[in-house]
Amino acid sequence: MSDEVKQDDSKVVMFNPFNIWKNVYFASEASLAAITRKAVETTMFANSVDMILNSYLQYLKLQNEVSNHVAEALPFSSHRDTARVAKMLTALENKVDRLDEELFTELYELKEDTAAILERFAPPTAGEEGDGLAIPIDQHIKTTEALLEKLSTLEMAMEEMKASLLELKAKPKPKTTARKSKKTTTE
Amino acid sequence: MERIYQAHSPGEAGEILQQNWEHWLKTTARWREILTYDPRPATGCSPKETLWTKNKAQLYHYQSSSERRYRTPVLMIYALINRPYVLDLTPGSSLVEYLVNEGFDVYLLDWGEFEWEDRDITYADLVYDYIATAARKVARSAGSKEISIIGYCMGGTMSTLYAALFDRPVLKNLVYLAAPIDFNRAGTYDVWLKAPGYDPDRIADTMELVPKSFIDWGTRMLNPMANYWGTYTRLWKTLEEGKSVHFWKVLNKWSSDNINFPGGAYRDWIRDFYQGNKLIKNQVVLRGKRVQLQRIKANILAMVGLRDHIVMPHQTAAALTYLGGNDKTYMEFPVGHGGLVLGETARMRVFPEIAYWLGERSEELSEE
Repeated sequence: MSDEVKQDDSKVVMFNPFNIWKNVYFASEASLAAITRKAVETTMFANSVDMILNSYLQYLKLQNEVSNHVAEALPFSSHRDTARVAKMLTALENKVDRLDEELFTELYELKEDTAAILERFAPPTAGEEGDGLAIPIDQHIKTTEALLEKLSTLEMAMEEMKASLLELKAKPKPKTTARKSKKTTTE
Repeated sequence: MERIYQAHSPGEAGEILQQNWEHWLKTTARWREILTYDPRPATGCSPKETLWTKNKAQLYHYQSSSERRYRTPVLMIYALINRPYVLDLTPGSSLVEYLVNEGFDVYLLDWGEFEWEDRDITYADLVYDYIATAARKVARSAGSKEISIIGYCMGGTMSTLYAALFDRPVLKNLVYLAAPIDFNRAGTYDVWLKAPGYDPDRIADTMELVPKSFIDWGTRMLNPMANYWGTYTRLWKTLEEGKSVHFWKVLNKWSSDNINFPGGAYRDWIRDFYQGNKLIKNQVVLRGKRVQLQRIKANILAMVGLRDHIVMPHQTAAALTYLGGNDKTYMEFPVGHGGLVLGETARMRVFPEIAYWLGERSEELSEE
C-alpha cells in the first residue's frame, strides 16, 4: 500500500490542454448560438432583412424585364416557351388521369352491380341458411301456388263445360232446329 | 480524451501531449476529407416501385418481404421543403421501413423538383391534381375503400386541405408529425413573415419560382450559428471522439438537399396560412370550395417535438380543437422538428407509437 502511494506521488499530474480547449470552445459555441438565435428573433433583424430583400427584388425585377425583352427579340425559343410546352404536357397528364379515373369508376360500378345481381340470384350454398333469400323464395312459392289454384279452378270450369256439351249432344234434336242448322252451315 | 494526465515522468507527459496533438491533426485531416471528397451516403433504400407519376411527382409503393397485416393503406405526404427521403433515410432509421415491417401497405408521394414551368402551381393544384389523385390510386392499389395519411410538417397541412374537401376514398386515420394547423404564435416565423416589409406577393411575382437557396436560407437562419457553423464543428467533435459519422453524413445530405418552391404555392403558404391564419378560420377556398375543418371526421394523431422551433407544439395541437371527429390523440416528445423522424427517440418511441395507433384503427386482412 505504501509502495503504491509512493508510486502515485512520483506521477506527473497535469491538465489536458486539448480537452480544456475543446470544452471551452463548445461551451462558447452553444452560448453564441443562443445569442444569435435571440438576435434573429427581433423585429429589428426582420426589418433589416426585408430592406435588403426588397432592394434585391427591385434589382431582380429590372433584370427579368430586360432579359425577357431580349429573349422576345431573339429568334430562339426562350425558357418561357420551353416552360409553356412542359405545362401543356402536364395538362395532358391531368386529362389522362381524369379519363383513367372515369374509366375506373365506371368499371368499378359495373363490377359492383354485377356482384349485387349475382348475389341476389345465387342459391344458398351448403351450410348456409340462405336467410337473405328466404323472403323472395316464399313470395315466389305463394305466387306459384296462387297460379296453380287459378289453373285448377279453370280446369274444373273447363271440365264442367265439357260435361254440359256432352250432355247437350246426347239429347234428341228437334227437326226445325236441325234444318236451320244445316242452312246455317251451308251459308 | 481524459481531462487530467498522469505520467511517470515529464518525458512521458510530453509523449502523451504529442500523441494528442497527432490525434487532433488526424481528426482535422479526416474532417476536411469528409467535407470535400467523401461520397454522399445512400438514402431512401427501402425497395419500392413507382405506382404513378405526374409532372415530376412520383407515388412510391413500398415492397415488403414480410406478410402484410393491414388492408388500410398508409399514404405519406411530405412538405415542399427538402426531400421526402427523410421518411426513409437509411435502413434501421426509416419510418417507411418500420411500418412496412409492421405489416402496413405503405405509399409515399414525392413531389420531385419543381422547375420553371411549375412556378404557377398553387395549393389548389397540389391538393386536387396530386394528393387527391394519389389517394385514389393508393386505395385502388390496396383494394381498400379507406386510407390512412401521415403528413409531415407542411405535408400535414396539405393533408388537412385534402381531408376537408374529399370524401372518397374515406380517410380513416390522419397522423400529423409536427404539422402546423394554427399559424398564430409561430415563433421566429411570426416575427419575420408578419413584418410590414415582408410581401409574399412581391416575392412570388418577381422570383416566380422561389429558388431553393432562398428557402434554405430562411430555414437555416432560424438558428444560424448551429446551422452554418455548428454542423461542421459537431462533425469534428464526433470524429475526435471516435464515434460513427454515418448519421451526420446522412443528415447533412438531407438538410442541404433542397428544392425550389413554386411561386403560386409560396404566395398561398405565406399569405393565407402564416399571415392570414385562414385555415382555422375556415377561410381557405380552393377551386371555389371552402375548406371546413369540422368536416374532417378521421381519427387524429398529433405528434409534436417539444424543442421544435420551426413548428411550435401548439400549432399542431390545434388539430384537436378545430377538426371534427371523436377519436383524437396528442403525443409530445423531447425532440426538435426533425427528431420525430430522425434519431434514437424516433426509432425507439415515435415509430412504435405510430404503428400501434394505426394498427388499432386499421382494417386487418385476416378479418375477411
